[in-house]
Amino acid sequence: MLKRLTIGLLIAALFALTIGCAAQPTLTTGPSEFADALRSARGKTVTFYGWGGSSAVNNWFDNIVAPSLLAEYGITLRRVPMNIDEILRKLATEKQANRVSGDIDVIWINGENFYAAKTQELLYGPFNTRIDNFNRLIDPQAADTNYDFGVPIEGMSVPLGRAQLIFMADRARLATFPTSAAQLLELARANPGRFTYPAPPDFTGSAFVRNIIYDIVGFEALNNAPAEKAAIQAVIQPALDFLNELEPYLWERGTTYPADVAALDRMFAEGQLLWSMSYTPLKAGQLIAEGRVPTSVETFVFDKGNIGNTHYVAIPFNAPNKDAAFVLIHHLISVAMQAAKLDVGNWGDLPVVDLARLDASERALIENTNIGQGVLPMDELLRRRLPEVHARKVAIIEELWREQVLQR
Amino acid sequence: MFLTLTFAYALAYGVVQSMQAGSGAYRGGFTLQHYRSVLGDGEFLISLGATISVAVIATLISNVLGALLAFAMLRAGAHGKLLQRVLQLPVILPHLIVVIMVIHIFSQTGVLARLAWWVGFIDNPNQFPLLVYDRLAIGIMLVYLYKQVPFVALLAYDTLRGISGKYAEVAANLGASPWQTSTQVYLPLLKPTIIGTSLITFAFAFGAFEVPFLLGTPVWRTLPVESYLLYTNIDPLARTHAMVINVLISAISLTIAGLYFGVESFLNRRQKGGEV
Amino acid sequence: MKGGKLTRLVMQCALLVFAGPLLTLLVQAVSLRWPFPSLLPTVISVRHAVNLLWDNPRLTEAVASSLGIAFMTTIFTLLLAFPAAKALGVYNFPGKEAVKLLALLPIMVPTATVTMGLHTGMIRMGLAGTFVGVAIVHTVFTLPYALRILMHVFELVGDRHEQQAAMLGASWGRVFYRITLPLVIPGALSAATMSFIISFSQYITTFMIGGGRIITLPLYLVPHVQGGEWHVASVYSLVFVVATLGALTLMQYLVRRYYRETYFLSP
Repeated sequence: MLKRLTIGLLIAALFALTIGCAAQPTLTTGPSEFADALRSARGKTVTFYGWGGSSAVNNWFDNIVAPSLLAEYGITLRRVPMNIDEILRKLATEKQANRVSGDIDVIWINGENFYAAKTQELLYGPFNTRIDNFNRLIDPQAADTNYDFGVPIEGMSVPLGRAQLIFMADRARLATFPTSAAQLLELARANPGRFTYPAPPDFTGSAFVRNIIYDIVGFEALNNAPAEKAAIQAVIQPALDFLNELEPYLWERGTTYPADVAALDRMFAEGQLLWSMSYTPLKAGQLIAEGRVPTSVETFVFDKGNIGNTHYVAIPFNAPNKDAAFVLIHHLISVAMQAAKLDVGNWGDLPVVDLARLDASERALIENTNIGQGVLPMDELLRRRLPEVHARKVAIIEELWREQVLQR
Repeated sequence: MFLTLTFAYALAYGVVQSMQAGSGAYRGGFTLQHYRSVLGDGEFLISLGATISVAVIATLISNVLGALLAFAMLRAGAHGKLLQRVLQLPVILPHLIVVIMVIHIFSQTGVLARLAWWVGFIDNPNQFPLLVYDRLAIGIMLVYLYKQVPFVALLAYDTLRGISGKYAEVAANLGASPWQTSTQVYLPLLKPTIIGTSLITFAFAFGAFEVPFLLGTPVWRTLPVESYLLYTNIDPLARTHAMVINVLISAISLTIAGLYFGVESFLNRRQKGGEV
Repeated sequence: MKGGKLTRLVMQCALLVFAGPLLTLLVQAVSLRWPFPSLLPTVISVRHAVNLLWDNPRLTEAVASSLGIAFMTTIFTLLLAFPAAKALGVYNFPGKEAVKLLALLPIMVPTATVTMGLHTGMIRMGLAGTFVGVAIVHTVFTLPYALRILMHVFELVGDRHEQQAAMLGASWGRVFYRITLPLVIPGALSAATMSFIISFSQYITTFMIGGGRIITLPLYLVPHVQGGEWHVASVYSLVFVVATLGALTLMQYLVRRYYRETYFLSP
């Protein structure tokens, strides 16, 4: 009797198990229309994961975005600082384990990381046209709406902000600013040891090297070259030669370079160097406001343009609250939030909204934002802005720099 | 009962270590292909050579200076005891703060540079020799010395005081000169201590992260820093290389540790065997 | 054993070399502006330094995190080290030398290396980004030091006293509280101090395991060092030193109060 009972239970258990296995958990599909998202997301909490290493950025999220999000849409923002490599590792692990409802609703991402996330199918989408403010405010033809570091976006992410490489120098110490590679060489010869740049793979140093390549060889040539070492070297050889020619006039005669852009800023602030550079366009404004550099410091770019890149927000494949994610992203790209983000006292990051699509009052909001002293206005920056090439090429260029310039 | 606790603990620890080594080996896919590519890479070899050189030089200098300082402290009597208290501070200070102090003093806009300007040796900061962030790792070495010389000196001082109480008096009574006492009595008895500190200082200088991370030049990087930079790269191949480097670092460290225990037990056996 | 002039010179040099640099820290902490090539700061402001400390929630958070993790690490370390040290110091068993070697390994293997190995495991156990997780990783590195110290103490003390007390009928708890503890207090305090200091000054372990979510004082300090903000860096460094010394003094005071008739080894 007992034996039959046990066998019966076992069979029942096996049955339940197979049923359970057959009913695979599935991913949620997300709202098909923005109006649905607005309705269903009210009262929810949206979780945002991103790099938390900048207090300015954190401040914008916590003290400007979060309260207004709650007031306007009734959604609570929960920001979790985490480095992007860990975020991607987490998502990749969850994808493998088929975890259909994760912890993250929105991630902050760009470049090489976006490429990795997209190829490993860690993202939800395409979704960008389902967000009202995207359709209204973002230019669908803009290069950075469609390509992130040369990788087609295909609707899997929405631009959040724009950065651009800028140079800074003290007008009181340097009468003419170098607005081309050739001029830089001239000035370095006249002032030996007073110029340098951070060694790649520092992010800003790497961008500087690419900027020199653009100036000497041109963006198109680099963009059209295949992502393969020999081909890239053939294209950028004139730029590598230039950097080698420049080397003896640099700080420490180019036998070493500052390890990161923070070191460059330090030497600039202490008067050792005549210039510095940054990927934060309003950096000079921040440095002046902090009193680290005198008010005669000004921002400038090369005549042929400086590299700019865009950073984005995306939705993980297993986001538990896709509707709330939609609303958050809608709010992040709103004119009010983008203007607040631009303010040098908050973050100092360029807006992604297309000025041509704004009405008069919205445009005034952006134009009247305080961008600080000694900086270039937004339209001037955008006029002299060059896109990034594919992330794979960035790594190759860094390798070539180390081999051909550093080790020589 | 305590025994089971210790075994559990040691087991847990062994698990931890094998997890670390294991992830390294697994990432290599149980093939030696990654090891070959890492070992063949010029930059890796430079890192390896540089890391070992810095560690060896730092160990040599800090142990010699530390031992000499300990001798001086012994001879200085009360002043020596005072210095003993002062030296405890460098030992407590974290490396980060020592880095800050070294930069303050030795950088091209630091205290020494300003003195040089005042005396007229230089006109601008770039003329002052680069002592921090430099290719010779001078700044890094200075930080190590500031921390290790007091460490060695304090331990050596303790040992010397122990010896001086017992054996030195005996030797003096038997008519030995101060020089003879130093070389025949103090030095041999100090050897075990110094060997211990040498191995610890080498292990530390070899494996340190924060100091070379903050004070290093981008031209070459010490192994732990190199491994960390590869580890945080999103390219999975880079991470594999990082784990390979970690396994190699562990192998070197374990060899040093093995040497330490080997030498320690050898010396213990010698000491137990004969009377000094 | 009185030394001659040379010895005195060496002593004075040593004093200057090892105590002097702290002066630059103190001066930088109150200098708002100290541009090259001035030998003295051009703008001194104690008020600015105080402002940096006063309304600074991130600093408070960093100090609190550091202190919290350090105390947790010390407790974990002592809990694990006590039984292990007793077993290794008092009893003899096969494989003892091997266990000793294994236990002292973390001193030898670099922290960054071990942490990278532990990182994936920590993520999988859900401990990455938590205070407990960071404290656990710190414990891995403080244990060898604590073990060494406590092992020596137990080797010296043995367990005769405990055995006698047990023979006389005392319970396990009373034996520990009344006999073991007072005997090993100096060693335990030394081990606790060591653990606290090591944990408080950790950077790369907290950085990796904390995953950007846990900010301790060293993590807060590093960006200012990289950026050359010496005034700020020096002020925070002093906070560091004060916090460490403060916590240690508190520990010593509490222990002394609790065991009034304890004999301390001379400093």
